[in-house]
Amino acid sequence: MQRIIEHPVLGPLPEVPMVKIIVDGEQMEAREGEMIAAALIATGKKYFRKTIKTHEPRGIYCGIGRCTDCVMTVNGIPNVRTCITPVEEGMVIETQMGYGVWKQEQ
Amino acid sequence: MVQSYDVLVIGGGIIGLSCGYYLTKQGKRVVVLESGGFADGASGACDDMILFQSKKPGINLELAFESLELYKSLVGELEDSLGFANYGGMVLIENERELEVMEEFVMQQRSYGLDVEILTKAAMRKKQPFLHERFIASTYSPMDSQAYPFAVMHKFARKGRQMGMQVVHKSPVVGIQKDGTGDFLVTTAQNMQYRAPHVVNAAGAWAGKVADLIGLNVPMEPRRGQIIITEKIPAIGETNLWSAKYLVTKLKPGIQIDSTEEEKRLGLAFALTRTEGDSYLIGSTREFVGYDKRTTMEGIRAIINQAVSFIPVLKDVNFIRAIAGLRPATPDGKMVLGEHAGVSGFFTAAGHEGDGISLAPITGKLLADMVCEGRSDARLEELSPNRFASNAKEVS
Ligand SMILES: Cc1cc2nc3c(=O)[nH]c(=O)nc-3n(C[C@H](O)[C@H](O)[C@H](O)COP(=O)(O)OP(=O)(O)OC[C@H]3O[C@@H](n4cnc5c(N)ncnc54)[C@H](O)[C@@H]3O)c2cc1C
Ligand code: FES
Repeated sequence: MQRIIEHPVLGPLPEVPMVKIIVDGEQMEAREGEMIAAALIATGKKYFRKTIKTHEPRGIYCGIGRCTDCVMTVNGIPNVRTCITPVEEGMVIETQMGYGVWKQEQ
Repeated sequence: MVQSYDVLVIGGGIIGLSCGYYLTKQGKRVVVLESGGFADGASGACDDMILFQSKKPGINLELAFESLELYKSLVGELEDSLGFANYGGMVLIENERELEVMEEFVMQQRSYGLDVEILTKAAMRKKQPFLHERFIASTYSPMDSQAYPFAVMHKFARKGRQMGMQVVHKSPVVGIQKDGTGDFLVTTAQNMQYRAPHVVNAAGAWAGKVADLIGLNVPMEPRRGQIIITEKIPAIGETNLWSAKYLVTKLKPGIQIDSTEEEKRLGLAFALTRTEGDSYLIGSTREFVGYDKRTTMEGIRAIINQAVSFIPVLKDVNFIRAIAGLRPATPDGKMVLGEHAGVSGFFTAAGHEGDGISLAPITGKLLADMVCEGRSDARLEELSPNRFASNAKEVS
């Protein structure tokens, strides 16, 4: 777990309930209300998707929902911007290849 | 200073550039005068479909076949892919009434040589697994194709320039006269003058205004179309799509189709195409609102709601842009192509409404044949500008 426990300006990290998320088939814990990207970075995950043509790894870039570099497939929906999408209990998050694929049961 | 050419083309959209290109190819010295910049008109704010299924058997369908063949040869000639692709197309059918009309229409089109069939629900869903459940059948034609209008225009201009064609932007034509020698003298807002024995009016939705400058009547109304463009997404189905509803109301005006007031006012019809860049274009409206080419919240919202009701997974897709263009619409739904009886040497090539991308290559080629060889097929008679009454006002 890589988190800032004591922040010079924001102070100590408050206690919040934890939720369970599933990342590429593995169960992990996240702080309720935090963004998917934050949760993943805390677990040490650095790349969220691979680009369509050159298969280069990509992760968080702008962190504010503008650049779409951080997109992943979330609950079967491709191209979800993880830096502005909060985690939910039981959320299924997958590293995305290219533009991903549609899951049919929608 | 007056510059002299063989042909002056007014309007630098896909039609003007196609005319310019084919004229130049036949050895004419051509200048294309465009009031705005590159792709400023409808050709820069439209879908990209080369559609067959939407066309009634007749001249439009015939010319569309010929245009498709030209597109295939242009890919080599203009040394570019032109975004040309052949995904095929499906028209989505919602109920028995639509099915009946479409079955009859498909029969007519088949007898005209179009490769098109009606698919069962199962066969339709195999090609389009993300469609809403309510669709009962669809048509399918492997012939429906597409081309990227920006690339087509850009490469017409590039190749044309290599052969000596000129394209001048920011040059609205404000005056057209015939002088003593029988040449036309065309004046732009900058007071530049151009002289030539031939003028081609390819000003799209503005063609009526341009014709008016020399006292000719070309009835042309701008018909606004709004579309939205999505982010890059994984493919939705195998083909491009549109709805039977619009086609049915056009084919059988008497038939009762449940449309809301808003749908009628906006002239809403569903169209979905995948671009070369993996975005989707989703349209569109067909509105008569004068020369206003802004997008509207009402239009965008209606397009989105309709799209999600056709393909539910679209609800999770972002759209990145909305655009609107003015289709050049004639009263009888046919383009205007030919020389004006009243003013020899003055040609109009405009009024393609929703088919200008499909028909651009064939329009340019036919126009060039008319100008260069004085040749015109008898079958093109029905497209002649002289079909509109009170046309022949002699200008000397
Ligand atoms: C939303 C939408 C979707 C569409 N989808 C399709 C499709 O899928 N397939 C298809 O085949 N077609 C489609 N169309 C139709 C197609 O866009 C038009 O038929 C085509 O672009 C018309 O080309 P044009 O060159 O005649 O007109 P334009 O591209 O409008 O060009 C006319 C040009 O003339 C210039 N001009 C006007 N007045 C003057 C003047 N006085 N002096 C100099 N220049 C002047 C204008 O600035 C303009 O650039 C669609 C249109 C819209 C709006
Ligand atoms: S990092 Fe830029 S949108 Fe998420």
